[in-house]
Amino acid sequence: MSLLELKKTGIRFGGLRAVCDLDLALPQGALHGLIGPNGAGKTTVFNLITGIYAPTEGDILFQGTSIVGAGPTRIAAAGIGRTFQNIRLFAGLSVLDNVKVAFHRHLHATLFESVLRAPRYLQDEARADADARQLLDTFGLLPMAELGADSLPYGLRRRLEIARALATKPKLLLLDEPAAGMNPSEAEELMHLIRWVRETFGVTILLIEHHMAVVMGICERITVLDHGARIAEGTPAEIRKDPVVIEAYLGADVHQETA
Amino acid sequence: MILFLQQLINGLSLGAIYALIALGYTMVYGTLQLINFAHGEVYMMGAFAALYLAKWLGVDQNPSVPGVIVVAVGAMAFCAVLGMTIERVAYRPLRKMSRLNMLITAIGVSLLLQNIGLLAFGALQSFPSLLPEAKWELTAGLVLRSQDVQIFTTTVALMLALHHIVERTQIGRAMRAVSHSRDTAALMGIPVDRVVSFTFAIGSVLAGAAALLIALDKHKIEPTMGSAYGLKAFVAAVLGGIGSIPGAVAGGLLLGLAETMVSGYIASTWRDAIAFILLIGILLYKPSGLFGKHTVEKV
Repeated sequence: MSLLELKKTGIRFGGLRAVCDLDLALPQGALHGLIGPNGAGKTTVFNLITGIYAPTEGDILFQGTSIVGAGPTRIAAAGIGRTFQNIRLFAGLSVLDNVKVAFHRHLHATLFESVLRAPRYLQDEARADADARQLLDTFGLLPMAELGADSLPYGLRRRLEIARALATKPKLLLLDEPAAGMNPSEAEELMHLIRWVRETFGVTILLIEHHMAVVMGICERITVLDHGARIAEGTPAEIRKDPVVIEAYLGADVHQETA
Repeated sequence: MILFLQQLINGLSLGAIYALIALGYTMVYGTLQLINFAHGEVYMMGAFAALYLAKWLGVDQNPSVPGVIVVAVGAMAFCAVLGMTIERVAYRPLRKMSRLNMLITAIGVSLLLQNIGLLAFGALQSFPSLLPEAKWELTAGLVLRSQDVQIFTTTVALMLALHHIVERTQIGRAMRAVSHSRDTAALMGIPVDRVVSFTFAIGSVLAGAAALLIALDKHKIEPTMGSAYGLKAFVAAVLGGIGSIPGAVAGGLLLGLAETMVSGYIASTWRDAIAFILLIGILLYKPSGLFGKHTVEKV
């Protein structure tokens, strides 16, 4: 059974079909790439999966059950975590609190227990604190734990966003252009990090990325979107050679001229 | 000098009340970007809830400190339920629509509650003394009233409690996350609806406390008191930077002091004008308020 399955999924915004008839199946443990030219609908696919938008057509199954209409909070609770194309950390909170707040749904103390510092609150908080610090440590962010999240340099903010998404304990992790704005050596480092995250946390990963080196280097399979529709799916080697993909990226005219 | 000190006491006392109410505006604005015009009416309802509770329990006949505490807790709990109900019934169904819809609904809820108040409670009612009242003459001409002491101490205690909840509890951390970005918080598994509901409850509890404090001070309450104090407190929240908790406190105190200083040194007919002169000034020169974050939209 696939962990995530999109069946003929689509969404219209008025007359615009931002995504249409999309089929996608991710087996447990996959590292799958989602690529396409600007405006192809890649981020919209993420917004559909995480419940920010409800699809107007088709169905989305997570672990075999439909998650259409469940809303972001419940979908996150079901085990889907994500990062954002333009980093969206909680800027006013410390690095540590950014991760701790993502543990929220695993904490059970009531308001009275936390105001009165009851044993359950202290246990809860101690566990959240320890887990968060451990997570930060594995991402090399522990020395900055008390700093404001907005004071981190760009590359570390990307890392923190991935750490925060992992704190929700997801089974499926959606990464939206994690290498955006990175130089080749930072992108290289990120590739290792993503592979390592999959091995260590046992998550399935769906990745949107423009850095072809990153996508081709780590994904087992790749889906290519153009104008909201799937135009190709296959291994990196297959995608690299696919004439339809080359045309979508370079434009029909260029293709004809070079042919 | 005596005049200055006297107006300082009066100003801090008035400002503390503004600050308590302003916190409700600013916290709701922080989470929903909504100016909850019905907040003043929650405050008004708190005063009447305290009055009827005091009469029902007979605290007005035999005043006692435990009795007043029961009345206070009851009025604050009533306000919390009222605030959460308003949010659930009037605002939550509109959350996905344009913000203007919610704003207009807030004005509607405000008018509705005010008129319910007029129908149910009549125009003006006197509020009994529930606590012994005293005046101390500190030096010649400088008077400190026991009501001022009540207002200071209660306000400081409530603000410390609020600070503790926002900064040191799990729900407080979730509130800060939601106020930063509701969508992102939801995607991180934070139950946004519950956090918003809780924010309304906290703001309303503070309004309820302010209502009882003012009722014990002025001894008269009326269904329109929400618009008078509510509007001033809203100005205080904007002065401090709407959405900022320390800003609401600073704005409230500043406004209270400005009003009493103006009435002491210029003329009391100018005291309402000064609130709005300050508002216009801040909107011209520092639109984000004293403690407000200056946000730049990235494109």
